[in-house]
Amino acid sequence: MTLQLQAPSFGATISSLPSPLTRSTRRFVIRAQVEPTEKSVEIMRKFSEQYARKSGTYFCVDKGVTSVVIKGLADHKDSLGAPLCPCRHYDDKPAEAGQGFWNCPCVPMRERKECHCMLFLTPENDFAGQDQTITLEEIRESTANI
Amino acid sequence: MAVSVAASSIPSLCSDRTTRLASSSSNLSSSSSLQFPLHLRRLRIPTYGVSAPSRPRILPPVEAKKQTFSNFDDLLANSDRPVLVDFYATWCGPCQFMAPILNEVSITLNDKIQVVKIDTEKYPSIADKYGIQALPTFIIFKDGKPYDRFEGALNADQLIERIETALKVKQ
Repeated sequence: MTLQLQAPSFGATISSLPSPLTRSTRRFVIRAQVEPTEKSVEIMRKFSEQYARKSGTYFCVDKGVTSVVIKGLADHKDSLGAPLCPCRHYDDKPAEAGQGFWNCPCVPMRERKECHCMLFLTPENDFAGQDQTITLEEIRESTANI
Repeated sequence: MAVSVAASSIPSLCSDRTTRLASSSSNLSSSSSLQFPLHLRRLRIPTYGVSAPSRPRILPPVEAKKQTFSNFDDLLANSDRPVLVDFYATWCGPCQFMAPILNEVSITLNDKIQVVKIDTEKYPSIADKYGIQALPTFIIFKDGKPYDRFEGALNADQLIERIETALKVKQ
């Protein structure tokens, strides 16, 4: 885990020394990096909607699953530069990201519409819902406790 | 945390310190004399908010007892029951989907099997040792050795059936 010093627009303050002379309104939060960036989440959210439409697949009835996978893809995009499949264990992640087989959309998905992450589900799948869309709000709510 | 034990009958052995350990390096052998205590966290039931499938929550929450084992082999060796190990990752959707199901199953089959979860990102050496690729992968250990192995999410009934089939076949 990497520690990141951020000055976000939201978040809790960890120190608040009252100082009437201080004009600064910046709040500093030290946060362990377990969350992907909002920007990457939005990119992967858009990608997921677009690819579901294009491939004729649907999101899971349980949007929590969809949300977690989208965040997982965003997390890998942040750390590796490519959206490596979050539902696999790898010996060498950067090498895999460079190689590309497991970069979303992975080869099994592209060739056989097989997505073991349960992100893109064919209509016959028991877990397939009716939606090919998901909002950022839904993603945030579903993953608030992780 | 990396390893959690979801069984209410195991007494608590370790202190309340919640120090974490960094993931072991790839050359750490679990059978060597180098020991690292695995601090296990409490199992909590995740909720997906409004988007969760409507299933009435009639089961009481299971508080996993914290336990310290010198390594994973120790956990397997000292278990009085077969162990179901769930290899997962934080951002794996189906793994998170399985969390409440595992909770339910561990309560239902409490006396028959012990449920353990291993975060493959925190303990990559254990995942490598058992050749884990797709997540989630479930391995049922009997007498400390892998007996049955399957991948992917399944519902509670299917999981219970799979476990009971594996347990039925005794030497």
